[in-house]
Amino acid sequence: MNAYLKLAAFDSRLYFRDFLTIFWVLVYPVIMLLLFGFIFGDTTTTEVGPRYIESYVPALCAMNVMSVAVFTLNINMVTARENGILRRFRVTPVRKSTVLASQATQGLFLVLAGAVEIIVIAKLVWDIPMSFMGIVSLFVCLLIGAVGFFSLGLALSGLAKTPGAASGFAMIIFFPSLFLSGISMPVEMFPSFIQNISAWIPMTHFVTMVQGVWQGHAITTYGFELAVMAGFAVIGVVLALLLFRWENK
Amino acid sequence: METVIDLDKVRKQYGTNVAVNDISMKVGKGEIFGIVGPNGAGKTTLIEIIEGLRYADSGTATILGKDIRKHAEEIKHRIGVLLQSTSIPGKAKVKEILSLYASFYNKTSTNTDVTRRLGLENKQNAYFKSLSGGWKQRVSLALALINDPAIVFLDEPSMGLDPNARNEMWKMIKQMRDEGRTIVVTTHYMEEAEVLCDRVAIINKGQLIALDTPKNLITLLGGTKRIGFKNVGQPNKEAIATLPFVTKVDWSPAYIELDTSNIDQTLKYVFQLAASENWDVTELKLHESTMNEVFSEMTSEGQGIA
Repeated sequence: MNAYLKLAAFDSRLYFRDFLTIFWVLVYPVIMLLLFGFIFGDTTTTEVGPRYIESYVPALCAMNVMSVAVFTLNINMVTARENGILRRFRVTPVRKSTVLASQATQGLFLVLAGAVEIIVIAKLVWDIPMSFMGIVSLFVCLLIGAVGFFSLGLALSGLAKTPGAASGFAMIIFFPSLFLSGISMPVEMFPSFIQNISAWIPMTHFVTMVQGVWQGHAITTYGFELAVMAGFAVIGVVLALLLFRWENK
Repeated sequence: METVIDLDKVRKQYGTNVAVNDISMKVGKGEIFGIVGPNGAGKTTLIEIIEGLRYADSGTATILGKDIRKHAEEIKHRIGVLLQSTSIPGKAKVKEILSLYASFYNKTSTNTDVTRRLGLENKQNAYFKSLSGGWKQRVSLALALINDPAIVFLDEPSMGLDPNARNEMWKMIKQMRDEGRTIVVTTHYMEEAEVLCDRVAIINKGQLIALDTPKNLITLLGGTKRIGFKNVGQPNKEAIATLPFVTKVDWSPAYIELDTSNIDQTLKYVFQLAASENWDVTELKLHESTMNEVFSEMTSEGQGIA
């Protein structure tokens, strides 16, 4: 337990010394928020629906989960392996589950920090309506989604040998998910054959869920989405453990 | 002497390449035990099997009385390992690295103790990447000692260090031995093996070809002690060649060199001959062979003597 907490704190500190991590997790989403917010912020997709910005805020938080997973955690693990840091760990009694869990924990820390930042800015700029239950439910959903996505990101790190290859794998996952999951525009606006593809992307269900709970629906109304995320999480954890490697050779 | 590492016919094969070929040996408590061999000889594979990083195909490795295959985690709590310094994140501070590694073990020597012993007090807030090679190596050594280990494995401990830092490193290694720890060192430097190690195993092509004290290994080769002196006053070549214990003569117009199996006796006869033939022994040089020569002798031809 002590090793797990120490390792999570150690990695978090290293992250905050790295400019690129700060940029992707704490600056890039804000740029997206301001950009899409100022263009579409006050428009509505249906006569009675919420303003664009109100569904965009939770969706951005969900995107952050995915980007931390496939970029930050994935590339960090590959770099640590390439540099022999994991090999050094391997001659100590520390377990792979501890290494993976501490990575996921500090990823969660980044995601929560990003979410707070996005919500605060959106509140200040667009005065978005917020409810206590909405916020709590959003964070619960982010936590559930993080298990699946972080596991996926850590599993990916088992496939790549170099950080370059890792970011290649990351992009294959990230960009289709970004465009097809309804983060920037509702899935209903897509042609039906694209909607069919979207339905197979875990991110789509994650976005549906976070947008729903943010607007005040109870988490329990998203039974199907929860089941998808739970299945995704189980597969992800198994893959992450199976694909974990201490060394490249 | 209590045995802390006991290898019995350890074998590891990659495809058709036998990296470790049925090696058996014992390492006693409190020794500095050297493992030397040319690149690709199998010493890294052997060490990794002992450290629990790889499994042997056959044979058993017993570390501190336990089979490494069955008790890897327990054994890892009681060994310390020095790998090359790149295996530590550069953006971490020294104190953060020490405290992280301390948390991995159920038994730790206090941070301050290790810190003081390695003189790292003033480097606590330094980023690892800002340190010089010698200091980086000290931090790596601190990590290897942080769990107060019974056995310490050192992988090329003085690689890339300047002569001063290397002497410091050797001093620290001997101090570790004096504290009752067992040290296993792999090295490319035969001088290091000779100065530092109580016993040395020479590995070549996956086989243990010799295992003894550096002194005995050198003696074992025999015949390579040399006497050299200036060729003046017309010494009799025939008489010199037939002096007792002389095995070989290198004769040049300027200088004469003799290989002998008994340097003390041969020396005595050289002086007697010089006195009787009325020439002087000048510019005398005595040379005893080193581990370097033992090493090249044993590994170059691919023939062992053990």
